[in-house]
Amino acid sequence: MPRRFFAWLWSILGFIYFFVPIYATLEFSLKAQKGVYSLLAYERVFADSRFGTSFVFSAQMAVLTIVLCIVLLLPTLTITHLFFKRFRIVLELLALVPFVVPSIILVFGFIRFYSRPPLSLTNTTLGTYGLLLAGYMVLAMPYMYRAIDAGLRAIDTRTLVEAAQSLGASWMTTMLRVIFPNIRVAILNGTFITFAIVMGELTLAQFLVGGTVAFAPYLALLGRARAYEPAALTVISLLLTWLTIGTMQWLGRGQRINISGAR
Amino acid sequence: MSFLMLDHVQKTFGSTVAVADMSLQVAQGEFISLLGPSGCGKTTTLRMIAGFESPSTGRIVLNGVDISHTPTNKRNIGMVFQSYALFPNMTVADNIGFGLHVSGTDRHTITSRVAEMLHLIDLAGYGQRYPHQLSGGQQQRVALARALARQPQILLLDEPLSALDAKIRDSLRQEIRTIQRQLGITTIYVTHDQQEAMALSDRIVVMSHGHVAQIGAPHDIYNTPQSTFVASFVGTLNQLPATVVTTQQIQFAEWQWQSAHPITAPVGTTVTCAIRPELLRLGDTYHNRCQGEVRDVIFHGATIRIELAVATYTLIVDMFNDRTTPVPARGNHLTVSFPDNALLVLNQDVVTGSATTIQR
Repeated sequence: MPRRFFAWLWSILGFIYFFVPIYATLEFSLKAQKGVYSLLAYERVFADSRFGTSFVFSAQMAVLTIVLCIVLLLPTLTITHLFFKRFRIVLELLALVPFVVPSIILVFGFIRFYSRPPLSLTNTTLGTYGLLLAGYMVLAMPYMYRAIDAGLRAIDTRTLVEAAQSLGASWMTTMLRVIFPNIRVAILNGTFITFAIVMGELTLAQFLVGGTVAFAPYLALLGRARAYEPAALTVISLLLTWLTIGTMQWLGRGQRINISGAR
Repeated sequence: MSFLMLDHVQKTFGSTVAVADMSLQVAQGEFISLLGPSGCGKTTTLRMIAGFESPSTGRIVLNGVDISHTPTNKRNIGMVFQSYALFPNMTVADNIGFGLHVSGTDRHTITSRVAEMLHLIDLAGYGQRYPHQLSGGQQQRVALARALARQPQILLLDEPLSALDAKIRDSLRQEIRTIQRQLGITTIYVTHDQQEAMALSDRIVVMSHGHVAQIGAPHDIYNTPQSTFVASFVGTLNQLPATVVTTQQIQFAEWQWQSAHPITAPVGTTVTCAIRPELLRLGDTYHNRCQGEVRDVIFHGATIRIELAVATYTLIVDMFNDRTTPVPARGNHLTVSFPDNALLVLNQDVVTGSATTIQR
């Protein structure tokens, strides 16, 4: 059965492509002691408190980025969808900007503009974190934009909004109880990507908060100084990211959304 | 005083006039249909009553309150959409209870009201299902229940049956009317289907190009249309050009016909006269008559439609299938006749100005 043969072949090739690098990293991370497999590298990683703090910091930033992106983009896109269809092209173009402008340019722009009056944000820790968050939001915007836009296109947004309004619902209720739940699956896809982007983002974090505050710069620092620990760290962060995404998926579970009605 | 009043309402979108000048008085508990072809302004009118659009000029008064610019969610209306628009993420019960939930009604009242509504639409036991698990007809009944659960002042339906297949359309049509009578709720129903409008309504508002063409009870609209537009839009109609001979007589080809109503057009001018196909009789029972050749015979079941070539026109004749009258064959030469009061002499439309003659 040639069809079955090819199905297996592609599956095996795909498996090799994805898992060999992970396996190699895992295998290498266990070789901190000569000649035997050991968890020494992992022990060293966990012994360094900066691992925990930087991971938690970046995870917190990721969750904040996701929440703020949704709060900002969901109403904006819904309103654009309903009333300003012609503005969609402007938003489409805006959503491309983060792909065109490298993050190194973005971060230097940030630092130059926000380190002098009237907005000297980089003088305080909170201000710097705020800038970092804003930067993350810019980077995540294209993905969140695509996800929410696709969600709004997949449902009959206008009629659902009108139905909710005719039943006495305010805009807030319409958003929270009708629009959001019906495009939740689409938004979830955007949140996974955003989470991964923030966890792995090096440039913004390196230049704004530097050193060991955020996860990716800490990983880079470790990579320059040590051999086995970065590999162990990579494996850990991979597992933690999977775990986090799994948790988000679990939290966002529910019945499969089916679009009803004639459209 | 009327319950709902549209007072010289106008709606323009840029340079496009959707509703030119609409005035309408609706009594409490009345079932009104807005009927017309697409683009006639019927949906825009409904959307203004719903509050999805606000009128450019004019006033909308509901139960003594000017609601022209009140937001939709403050109007207490119930709306049913062509696409059902049920919330896919909620169960049937949650959909029906949504309006009550939003208005802060207590859980116990919502539960009993939802049960009552499910019973009303004959879907008791379906409360925990999701919309996608229901058929189109069931979904539209849920949408109706959802619109009615809050006991709105007025029920608005925007082509609610258009997405359904013929059989369900007929049964749901009757169900809507039964429920509407039972609750005595004032209802505005938008449709392009003249049969639907005639079967349901207390009064029909026929619209054309943003204007009201005629307002009246279904039998008035059908029997005494006031313009060629109304006449041709509602039901099938033979329209023939004729010359005015006297104030009581017109001439079509070689035949002179008597009218039961005085003709206002001056003698010698050409007018459009109209005859409903079902008022024409085979044979020479009446004085008004003409002859022609049978071009086609179409069997409809209860009725039989005959297309008759008369002069250069095609005359449509509907006869009952009463099993005793022989059905004419193609090529036969026939005489048909009709009573004086079956002849309508139509005024040329101010609005459309086009008489759609059935010309060969």
